[in-house]
Amino acid sequence: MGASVAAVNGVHSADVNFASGLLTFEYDAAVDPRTAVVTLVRGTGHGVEQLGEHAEDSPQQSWWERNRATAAISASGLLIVVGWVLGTFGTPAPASTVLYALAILAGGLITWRRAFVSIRARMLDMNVLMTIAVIGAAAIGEWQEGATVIFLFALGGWLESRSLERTRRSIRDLLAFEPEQARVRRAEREELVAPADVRVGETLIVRPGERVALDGVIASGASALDEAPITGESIPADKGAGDRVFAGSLNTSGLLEVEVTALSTDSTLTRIIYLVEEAQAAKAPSQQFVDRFSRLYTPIVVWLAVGVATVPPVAAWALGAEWGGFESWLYRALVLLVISCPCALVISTPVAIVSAITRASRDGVLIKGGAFLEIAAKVRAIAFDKTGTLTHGHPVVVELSAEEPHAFLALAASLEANSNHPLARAVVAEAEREGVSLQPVNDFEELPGRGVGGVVAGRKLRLVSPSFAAEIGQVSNTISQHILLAEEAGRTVFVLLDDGEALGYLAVADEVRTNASDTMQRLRSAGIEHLVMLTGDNERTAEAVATIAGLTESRARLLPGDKTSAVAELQERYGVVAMIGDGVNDAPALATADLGIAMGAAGSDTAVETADVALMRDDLSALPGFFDLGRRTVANIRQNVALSIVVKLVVLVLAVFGKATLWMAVFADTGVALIVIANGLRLLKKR
Amino acid sequence: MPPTESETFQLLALLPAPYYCAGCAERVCAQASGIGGVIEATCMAEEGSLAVTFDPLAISSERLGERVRELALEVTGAVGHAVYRLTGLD
Repeated sequence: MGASVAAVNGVHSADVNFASGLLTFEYDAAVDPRTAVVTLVRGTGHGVEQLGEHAEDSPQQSWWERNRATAAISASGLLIVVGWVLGTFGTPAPASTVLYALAILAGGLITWRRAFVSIRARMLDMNVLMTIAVIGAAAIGEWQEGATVIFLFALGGWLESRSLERTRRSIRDLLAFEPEQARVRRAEREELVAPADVRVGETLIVRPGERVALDGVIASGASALDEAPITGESIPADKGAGDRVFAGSLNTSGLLEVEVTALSTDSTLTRIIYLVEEAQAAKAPSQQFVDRFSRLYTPIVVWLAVGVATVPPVAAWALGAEWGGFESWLYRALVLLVISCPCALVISTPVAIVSAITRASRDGVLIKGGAFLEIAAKVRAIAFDKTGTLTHGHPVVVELSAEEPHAFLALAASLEANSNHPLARAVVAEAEREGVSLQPVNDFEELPGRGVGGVVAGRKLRLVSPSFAAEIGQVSNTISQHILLAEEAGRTVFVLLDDGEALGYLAVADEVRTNASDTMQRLRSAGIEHLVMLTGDNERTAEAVATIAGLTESRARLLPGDKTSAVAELQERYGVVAMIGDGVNDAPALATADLGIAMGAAGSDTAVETADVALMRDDLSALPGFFDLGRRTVANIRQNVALSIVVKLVVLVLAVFGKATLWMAVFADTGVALIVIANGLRLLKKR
Repeated sequence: MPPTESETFQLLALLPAPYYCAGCAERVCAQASGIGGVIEATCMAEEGSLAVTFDPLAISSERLGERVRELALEVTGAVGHAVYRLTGLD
């Protein structure tokens, strides 16, 4: 199709994306060949609608144009049945032959047109091969078989296109969740307008029972929102002022005022659909094998057919041997022509990939391409970041030990106010809760993986890990004993040094996610034995968290750069490794891993853009399902490829020895393609 | 050696097509090297930017900007883009 459109006068370039069903082309504006392109495409029996700002210019299809394929196939089937009935009841043969000829004409209505377009584009596709086979069958008097073959071929194609259409549309159906009207406050009045007319910064009013029209931040109000179109989670999430909301979410209870943060064309849901469609279009590695095989298979079988039609009859004639008549060899050659097109094989990988990516996106997992599903099937070890991945990422100060707690907290929080680390924010938040005032800091220094330092009121302070504090200062035995206990409980401890002297310590705890242990158990059941935590924390804290979360191993005291080395080392030890983090702080380690998975990506544009796979929910529970889907997808592709190749080869051998009929050949092509599609579509179902 | 200056243009903003088109970006880039005074035009079509090194004595920065914008208009005015959704593909 792409080559045929590119050959239209005035078209610069054209491309058809099989997965998304989109035809894109560039053209000379002075010539404007759009009408010619639409006529060409419709002539081949495809429906066509223009997208974008010129959509309304696209001429409408008539009823006949929309339904002629269905009508022609029905007529063809009816004519075959009538012809067979007349033949069975002893009507003269020419009557049945005429009906079969009409059945061939009707059944081939679309095939003939497509064959003509392909020949003009100098391509040898299935339509051309089928046309030759049916003409050949008629030429040797096999009218009934010719009619049945073209009818079955057309029916198979009709069923295929409808099945594939369902898959293509299923992701786009998510857009239906975006409401057609937005309630906006303008000049102290509420107006209902199209979401496309709402600007960033305007205020939306979202009543209970309504869907949010655009992405934004809650300015006032609180409610529970069902974010299933984005995260796959239908249990409503409680949200209040300052929280992000997404277009397509359902407001289940309270009245919300939402400040719009993105135009309707740039909503999270629209970007998800765009990325999913892009991912569906990307070729998976297994597709490359299929492409290579197909490039060799078709010409070999076509030449084999030519050989079978010519060499044995000529050799028999030359040698005076009785090897069967020319018609019998021509029939065998026609069977070979029908099975020379690797339709089922070509479709075997994309149908499984498209179905799996769509299923995953409905479960809140955004996969950037079929290749990552194939990698997921091979993963033997998973590395987890700790903060925000295994834990909630909302640490709080749970212990503070110092002679003057308020003064201690003021100094510690003053230092941490200059850092962006989540643990630092916990210390500052504690100071705010206690009503402690912060003081100005001079000569602030960040000590990656160790802590922070600076000068406060002339005092040279450092808030650092216990091990670093022991290296550079004096920590009493009593403090050390308490620190040991806190770390064994999974807490992260900081010691405040004043010119090298420990003033006390504070311990921060970040709760391990409640479903972490269950998720690890399910991952082990899915065959992933090595579950490793990578953290900058000390060994005792790391061990405690790893035990609670149910991991097999923990790597402690890792500086940001060390996580990348740790992933590389895991790759050497276990082979294919996945890394899971927040997608922002762990970007280098995610990039090093064979499969980088970002969590809680619905709220982070960077995570969605950079990770190979993004879990839209801030939750690990979708992980086992994703790895299971990867394995099922690869198994599904293998089943499809094996079935396509084995059936074709069996029919090929039978054809050469004169044991295969044209019907068998059609089954080996269209029949197997339908089985392959049905098998691929199984991945769409929720497990 | 003549004095040189560099300017980077965001093609994303320059091309008034219905969507960003890598083909049009390439066409603008190819023609930009033909502007008088331009020493080198490097296109990063995927990133949507065009980096131009030019002789400021031969063409001013403002005039260069105008010429690149004119080129973008010429190119996008001459090339149409269409996206169609096909049904019945098998």
